[in-house]
Amino acid sequence: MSTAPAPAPRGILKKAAVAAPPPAEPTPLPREQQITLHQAQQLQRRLEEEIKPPVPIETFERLTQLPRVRRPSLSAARPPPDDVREFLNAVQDFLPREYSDLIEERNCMGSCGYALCPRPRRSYEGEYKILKTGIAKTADLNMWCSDECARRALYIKVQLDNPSYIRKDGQMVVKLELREEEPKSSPQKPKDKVDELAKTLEQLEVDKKTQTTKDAASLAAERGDVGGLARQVEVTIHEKSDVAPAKAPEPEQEADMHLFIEGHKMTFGIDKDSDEESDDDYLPSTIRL
Amino acid sequence: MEEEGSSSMHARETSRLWRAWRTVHEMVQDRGYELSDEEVRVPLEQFKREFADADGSIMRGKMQFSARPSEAMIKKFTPPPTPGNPNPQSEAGTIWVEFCPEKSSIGIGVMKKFVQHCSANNFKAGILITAAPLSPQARKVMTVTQHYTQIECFMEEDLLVNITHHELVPKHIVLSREEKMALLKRYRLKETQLPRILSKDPIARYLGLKRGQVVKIVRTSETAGRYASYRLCV
Ligand SMILES: [Zn+2]
Repeated sequence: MSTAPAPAPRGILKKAAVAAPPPAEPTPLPREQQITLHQAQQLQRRLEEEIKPPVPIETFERLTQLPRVRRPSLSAARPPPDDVREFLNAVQDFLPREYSDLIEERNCMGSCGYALCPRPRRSYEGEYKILKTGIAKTADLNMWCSDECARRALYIKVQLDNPSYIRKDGQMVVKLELREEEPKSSPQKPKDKVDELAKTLEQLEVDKKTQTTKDAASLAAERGDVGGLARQVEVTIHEKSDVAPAKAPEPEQEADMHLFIEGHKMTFGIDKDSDEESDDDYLPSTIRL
Repeated sequence: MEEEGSSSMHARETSRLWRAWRTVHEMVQDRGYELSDEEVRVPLEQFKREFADADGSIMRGKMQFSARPSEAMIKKFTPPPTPGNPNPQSEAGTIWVEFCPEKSSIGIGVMKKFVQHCSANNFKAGILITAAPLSPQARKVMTVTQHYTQIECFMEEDLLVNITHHELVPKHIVLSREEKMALLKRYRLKETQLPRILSKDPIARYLGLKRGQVVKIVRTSETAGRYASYRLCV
């Protein structure tokens, strides 16, 4: 408390000796930067526009009627280009939820959920269905005509869920593309069915592989493995040389056998002493902190 | 065996539809439309005679009716005259009720057809009863057209039981606009100060409450006798 009086109270503020320079005229950015800034702002605005005007009902009605051209040579794998354009142009403006609505809307009409597919959806009965790959909800299966269409439709959904934007007519729109099919030959020439099937199966196999690598990569990323797949360890499994037939586990004390229930011995209802003894076995005698 | 299964299935569905048919009639009558008790209390046998086809299944497409508002209802829903509008029209008008034959979920197409039917026949309100839920976009069609025709949708299973007949459900009475104003004036309240009832509340749906309407709830209590409370529909 009692201190010598200071000559003068010293301000805690910094000296204003270095006066702030008058706000400089904003130097015009170079043209390229201006464009980049403009684009960034536009993107920002687009992202902020959470309340996007909803897709008009007419659009849904239009897309439930696709594909317009139905010929035996055309299929979900080889959709007519006009339909593809119409579909992608419309769906660019969709929210993921609205895309799900479209699938449901098509399902209401009995059509396959993938908008470019001319086939009707599956109609399994019951709640679950046993497949070769496991058990699936029939509601999920009945959305599509086939697993291929499910993949095609979900490929679009993934792009809406994690959109990347491209410039189109001065506006930023979601980049959308169809899932790659086997290379298109001339659509007039009807393909050999067996050949087609083989190719589809091949495609499936490829998908599986890419899926596993993707899964592994994402798992590695989750664990923080920087090296990713490059650091894979070779694992060799050796068979044990001496293999005796497996034995069922047996309780050690024969006398207590009747007290065991599924390998666990009941402790209550038994006299105190034995109870305490068994406790001692498990608890340390002293606990040090 | 097969036949027996299908006939018992028919019987179950018939009974379900009959109950829904009765409940929706009671609902329309409770809202103030003109329906005679004979129209409302249809016995099962008569219901079968009217709507079952040769193999015993019920034809939902035939299950439809309309009802006119009673004088009291017309009066209740006529807004008070103003200098600008000395002869206001009642908001109550003929109602159209229809069971939807569609078994899978209801899409835009079905909904639009229903809305168009209602507006083409000058129905002020329409109730569509479906076996399956509406698609999100069909629901949107319903709300978009709300300004022209008051469309409501119920699922059959919502109507198997008349919830207002349950002994624990107190009596709900919709107030007219004038009654609401009088209430607010008497208690010096703003309407936002009233307790609320959600428009999706089962009772609110049964009565067809719209946002801003006030419902009077009359409860009987062993200690307090009859007492009323009010709720604003939001
Ligand atoms: Zn398909």
